[in-house]
Amino acid sequence: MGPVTFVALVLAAVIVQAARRRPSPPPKGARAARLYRDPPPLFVLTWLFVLPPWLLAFAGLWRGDVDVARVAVLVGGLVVALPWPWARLFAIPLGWPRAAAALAHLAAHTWRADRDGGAALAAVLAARNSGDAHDVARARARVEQLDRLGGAGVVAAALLADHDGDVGLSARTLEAVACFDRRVVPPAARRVAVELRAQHLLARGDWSALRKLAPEGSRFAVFAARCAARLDPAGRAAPTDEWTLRLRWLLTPRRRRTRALLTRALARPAAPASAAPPTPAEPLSAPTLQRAVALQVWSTKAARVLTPDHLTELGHAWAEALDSLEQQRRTAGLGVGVPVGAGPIAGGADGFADGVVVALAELAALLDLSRFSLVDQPAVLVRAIERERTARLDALEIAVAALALRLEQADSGDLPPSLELREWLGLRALYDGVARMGADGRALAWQTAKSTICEAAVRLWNVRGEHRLAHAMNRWLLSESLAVGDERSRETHEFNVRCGS
Amino acid sequence: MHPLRDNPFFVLALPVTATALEVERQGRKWLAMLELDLPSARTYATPLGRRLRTPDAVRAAMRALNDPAQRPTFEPWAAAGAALAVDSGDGGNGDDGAGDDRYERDDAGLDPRGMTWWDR
Repeated sequence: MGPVTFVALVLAAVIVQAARRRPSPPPKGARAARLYRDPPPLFVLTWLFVLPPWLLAFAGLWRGDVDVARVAVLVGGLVVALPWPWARLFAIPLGWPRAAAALAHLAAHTWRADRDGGAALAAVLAARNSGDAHDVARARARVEQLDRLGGAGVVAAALLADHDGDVGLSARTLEAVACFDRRVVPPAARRVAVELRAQHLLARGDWSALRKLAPEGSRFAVFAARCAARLDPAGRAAPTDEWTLRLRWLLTPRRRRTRALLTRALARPAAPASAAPPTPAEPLSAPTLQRAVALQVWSTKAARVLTPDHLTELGHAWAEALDSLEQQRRTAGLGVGVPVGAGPIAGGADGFADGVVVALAELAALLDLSRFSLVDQPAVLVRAIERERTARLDALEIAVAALALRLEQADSGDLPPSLELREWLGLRALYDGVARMGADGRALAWQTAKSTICEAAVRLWNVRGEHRLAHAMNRWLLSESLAVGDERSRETHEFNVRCGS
Repeated sequence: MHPLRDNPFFVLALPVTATALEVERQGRKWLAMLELDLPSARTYATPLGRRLRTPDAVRAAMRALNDPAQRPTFEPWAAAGAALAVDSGDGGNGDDGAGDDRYERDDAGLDPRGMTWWDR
């Protein structure tokens, strides 16, 4: 192949690549046009400037005229024209945050409307690999200084939370990505997000959720989802066959590290795991207190498969045990049959019942009780659920009041966008916590939080120009107003969402 | 304080019949062993699995068992759960306080580190 043929092939590749770029959907308004506008076609412009000297250098080297300048132009041209592959192949795995951020910033074609976020994301990825606390601190500062927070910046914040060991915050931050308009979440950021989510689910062994994960073009996510389909008892209807799975594994990066997952999936358990918690060893005729404690222990251990029905059963067991305890106490008080100091259940019944409420409330906190009616439930269980709900509602009210105070302070109360995002996510977590407690929990949470969150979103949009984050918040407010059936709020949030669409 | 996980009788490894003197002696013993960082003192058995024993937990347990109002609230739990604590040992999904993973892994999960191109 001569140099002319090679040059022709490179040109053809550039033209094909440029032609394959899908145009963004037409914006509906002038403001939206500014919000979601792709950067100028820097990819093509870069190639137009870089390609001629690069080709001359290449042709010179092809002829055998090797010198430093030509090699520098050849390598430099490749770095400038294809920055993201260099970041992926070298800067990020080797843990060079500054180089990774610089290369990502050049990669307008990859990060589109969120180049700053892409640079921050690349810096965080590299800093995680460098293992240097200073690198992580610098990457964190870069994320916190981001203006116009977009999808890549949000994923960078999720990676930082994961690096800090706060997997809950990381997962909540990843959930927030779905609220952002897809036009401000570059595909590369979506892939990292889905891979981080897959890591969280793998660590927990949550095969059911992993099986349903949308892969967003990530080969690792596709492979993990296929493995999960074999490992999830509910996913056995159409499991991937062994050879397809092996092929998927071959196509997945980091094969040595993913081998353990492949091995686990290939050795699929013979029998589906039971969805019911293990049966207590104590027979039903055992003393009621013993039985209730045994049920409590097994329920706590089987928390993952626990259902509201199991909680009801446990509540009845405790109601019986407490009745029995009360009868024994009365008998002891009358001095009939039970000697004074006859053992642990002769006194402290009220304090003991409080302990039962604490233990039940802990289990209730793990369940989604949004469709659970408190009517006809044992009194001790109702007390436990109300205790948990009151505590959560108090926490939500305090957080909402703190946000309202900050909004009143106007400019002095403003936070960097990444911290505004974190505050919104914190409120969402508290909101969801209340919404899961009882049939009317969501309505209660909505009435408590809707006005202040809406006010925060409006301020972000009107005063601070953080349109992307405000739009994400408005989308969430709209979905919640629909879920609660609040018609008046729905109209307001529909209007707000239309402003940014 | 969770009545099973943080039960003072389990923290001090005492039966419900323990006297105030025994509580004092056992508490001092655990504090001394923790001071010396002896492995056998680091965890205690509960029906929910093994838990990390800390000097603060030992002191709180001693206070609770010496308080006439608090002690009876833990006795039924300890009496009913004692057999389960012995039986279950460190099994189940209990916290054993071991490991330094940033992920809350359980038996079903895998260590996902290094499985993606960006995670070394």
